[in-house]
Amino acid sequence: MKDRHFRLVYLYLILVLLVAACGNSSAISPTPTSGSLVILKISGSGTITTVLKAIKPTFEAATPGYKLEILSGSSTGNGVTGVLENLLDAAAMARAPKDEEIAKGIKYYEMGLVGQAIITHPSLVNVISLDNRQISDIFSGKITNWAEVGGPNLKIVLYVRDEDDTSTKGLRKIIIGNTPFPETAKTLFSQSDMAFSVEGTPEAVGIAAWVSIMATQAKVKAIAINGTPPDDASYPILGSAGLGYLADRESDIQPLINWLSSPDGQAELKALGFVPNQ
Amino acid sequence: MRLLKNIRNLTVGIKLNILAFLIFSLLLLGMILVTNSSMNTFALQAGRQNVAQNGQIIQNRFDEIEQETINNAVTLSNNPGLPEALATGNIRDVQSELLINATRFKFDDMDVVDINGKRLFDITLENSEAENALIKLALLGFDASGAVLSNEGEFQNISIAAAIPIHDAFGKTIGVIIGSRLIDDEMLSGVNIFPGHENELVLIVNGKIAASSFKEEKELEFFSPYLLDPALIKQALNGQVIIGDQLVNNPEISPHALGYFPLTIGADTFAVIGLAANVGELTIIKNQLIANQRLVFALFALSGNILLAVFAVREVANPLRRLQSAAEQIAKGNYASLAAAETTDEIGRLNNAFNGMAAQIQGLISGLEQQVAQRTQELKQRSEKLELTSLESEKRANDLQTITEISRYLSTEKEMEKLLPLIAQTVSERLGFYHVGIFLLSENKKYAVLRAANSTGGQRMLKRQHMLEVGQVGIVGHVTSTGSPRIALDTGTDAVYFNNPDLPETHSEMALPLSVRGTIIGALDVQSMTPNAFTETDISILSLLADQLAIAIDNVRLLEEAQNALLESRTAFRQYLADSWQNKSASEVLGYYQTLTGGQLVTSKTIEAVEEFDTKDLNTVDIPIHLHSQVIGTIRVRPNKEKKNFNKDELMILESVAERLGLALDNARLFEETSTRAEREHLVADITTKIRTSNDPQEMIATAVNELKRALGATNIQIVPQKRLPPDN
Repeated sequence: MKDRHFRLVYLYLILVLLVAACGNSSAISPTPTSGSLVILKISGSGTITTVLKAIKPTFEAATPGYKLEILSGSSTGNGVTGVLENLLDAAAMARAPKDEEIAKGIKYYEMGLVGQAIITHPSLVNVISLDNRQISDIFSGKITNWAEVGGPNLKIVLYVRDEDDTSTKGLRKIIIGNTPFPETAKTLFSQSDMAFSVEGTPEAVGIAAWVSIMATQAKVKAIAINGTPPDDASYPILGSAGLGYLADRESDIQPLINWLSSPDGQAELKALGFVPNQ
Repeated sequence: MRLLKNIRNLTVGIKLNILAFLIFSLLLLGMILVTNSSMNTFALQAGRQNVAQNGQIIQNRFDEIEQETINNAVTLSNNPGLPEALATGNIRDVQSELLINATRFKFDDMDVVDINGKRLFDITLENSEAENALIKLALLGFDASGAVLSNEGEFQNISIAAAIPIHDAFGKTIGVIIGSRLIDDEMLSGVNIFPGHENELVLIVNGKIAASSFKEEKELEFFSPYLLDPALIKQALNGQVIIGDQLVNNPEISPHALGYFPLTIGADTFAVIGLAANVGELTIIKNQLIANQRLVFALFALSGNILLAVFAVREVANPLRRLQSAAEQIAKGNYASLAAAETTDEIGRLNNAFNGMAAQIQGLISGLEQQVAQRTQELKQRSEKLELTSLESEKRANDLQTITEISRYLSTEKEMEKLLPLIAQTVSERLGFYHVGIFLLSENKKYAVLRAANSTGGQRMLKRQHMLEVGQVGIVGHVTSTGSPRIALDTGTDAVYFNNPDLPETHSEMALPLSVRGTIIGALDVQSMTPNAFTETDISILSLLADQLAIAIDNVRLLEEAQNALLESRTAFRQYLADSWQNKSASEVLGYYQTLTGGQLVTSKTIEAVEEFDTKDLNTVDIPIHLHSQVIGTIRVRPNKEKKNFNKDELMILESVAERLGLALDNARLFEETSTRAEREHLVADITTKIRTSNDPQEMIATAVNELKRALGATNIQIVPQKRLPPDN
């Protein structure tokens, strides 16, 4: 009996001490709530940087610890230069690397094929498809009214990119050759300017990488060439697009490549208008 | 110890109350602890969430600032005068405009670089590698942004920089303009706007605080040790977000949750943002909640305590008290049982067991009482019986004493005339009868004569020689006739026996026969003044007395007869002795005479000579020779002439000698007589033997005659036959 009384008293005392002890606690032991972070600085082709900006959230969500820092693009060549000068981790390339670039150590991952789309204002509903000749005539200034190609009686406003641009190069190579753009054509220097200009001009026509249009969700429409849309494998103006990087940075780039190669990545690319290269 | 002892001596009700108080206090304490712990956890979690959310918001705000910087730099890059300035290498024309815009954009630094990388304009003149890298990127046509470090004494500052290419009319990159904003206290305060939350930020660059939003230096000092953990900073620089899992508490400062965030500008993570989120408001809420809970718990505990106390008193203490009261009642002998228990718990079972026990005890006590009453009654009866027995024993002892005393009288007293009154008196006194009379039958057995009586009336009857005719008068007459005892009562037909005028007070009478060897010799008559006075014991004792009395009377009679016979025998013996010595002295020696000179026999012939013994001589002593009280002679002694008298011893010697002499003489005489008788017997035997030698009567007669002749010297002996006599009638 006596022991039991004492036990009760002890229990009571211990509880009181616990209460007293709970009052003060100043020790902190912080715990990480995220892992280490690798930021890939990428730029290059305006088209592909736009695409990369579009897939950035999905990729980052799917790949913890990796973030993409996509600088606004200029050109594939500058991207490769940035990579070669260690200013960039990867180059967004709208073409396959040149031999001299490969010679400097550039490795290339092809994301897919990109169609250079003939884009118009979405209000131009009657013009759905053009043949090569029609396109050539438009971009050479021979056709100047939409009524000539089955559209409304509107004077065509022609937007073109500079001659160094991949889109221009593809257009010349496949459709118009070396025929110069008419003087009435307005030259733009970026994909965004192109998309923005066409979007804001009901009678406009221009050329842009379809993937960048999809990526920026610009309110323009693509005109099929001979009935073939730009995201079709048989589309005439298709060019390779991918990432260029140095071999010693491959381990950093690999997660991005892995994701892009994964079914999720491929689906994302397809949704953006990429044509799979196989 | 004393306290414990005192507590142990408290009533069960108070103990249960204390126990209830302790239990609910512990419950209350436990609830407060749990609540406190829960609220602490809640505050911590809320603080951590707060830190995480705010950290992300802060990062987003820096991203916005970065974007704003880029945009502002783009705006600057679009200055129409720049292409020309770059072309000519003279920037002076646009410098003022650029500076104005830079100030408007809060740029702390702004550089203009031509296509060759040459700075045409630089505000700070301090150029880092990071800045150059940005310029290079911009020269490649990219809008580049990132963090730029700069030194300020021992501290390093960090800026958000944006390098934007400057294009010519054909879109060709001809230069770069770079603008940067220093992350300072003001910027931190600007991003640190969270309505409803109090956060403080510090910018940690190279392990040191480069900027902070703390307004109080004291608070900054307090939090600095927590926020400058090198390992944690290193982790944060690797891109990890770190949030403390405990609150920092200080009595003077509200509890804070802490966190580290990598500050990423562009792709650069050169700095860490330390965030201290004040969760004081949560603590206040927590304290308020705890206070409310305490109040609720206290009320709950009080209510529970009261309920438990009431329950304990009602369900435990009261039943125990009732049991105690019942036990006390039982101790006092009141066996009223408790009401049947309403519950089946231990107390209920105890209650029922107690009732059972009480009933059993009651039954036992009742049985015991009955047994005690029965035993008391039996004891009383036995006591009475014992008393009676005692009385009887006493009486018996008295009776025995009486018997003993009477027996002593009977054995000692030899004279009838003394014995009988003594017996009557003793029986009367000892046995308490007022009249005791002893009747003896007359010689002719016709009358019973009153020989002794103790009462006054009895004395009168003795004087007039009261006698009753045997078989005719009174009880005594009846008893002496039948030999059977008889008791008469003063009722019925026996009433006639009580008309004796000498004994008028008699109400019961008993007569007992005195009989010896079957012969009635009298009666013992006992009379009492009490009706029906005689008990069986009296009868037994008196019967015994009567028998002893009869024997004693018979003995006295026999003694008297024996004494008479002895007297007669002695007289005859003395006569015989006298005659024998008379004959002896007449025929033979009369005596013996002895002097100093010689002696001689005294015979009738020499008696004269003896006469010389002059009796007149005073000195001569005659000592009689006794034989069986009979003087058969005298020793006459005369002393010497010198000696005048004999002394006492000499006289005694003489008396002894005389006595021995008497016996010797008598023995000699008897021997002589015996010898003579023996001779005679021998002769007779001899004759008889001779006679028996023949079977012929004639010869036997002849032998007898001859032997007698020879023996007696007779001359004529005849044997004459007996004549036949006529028979008696």
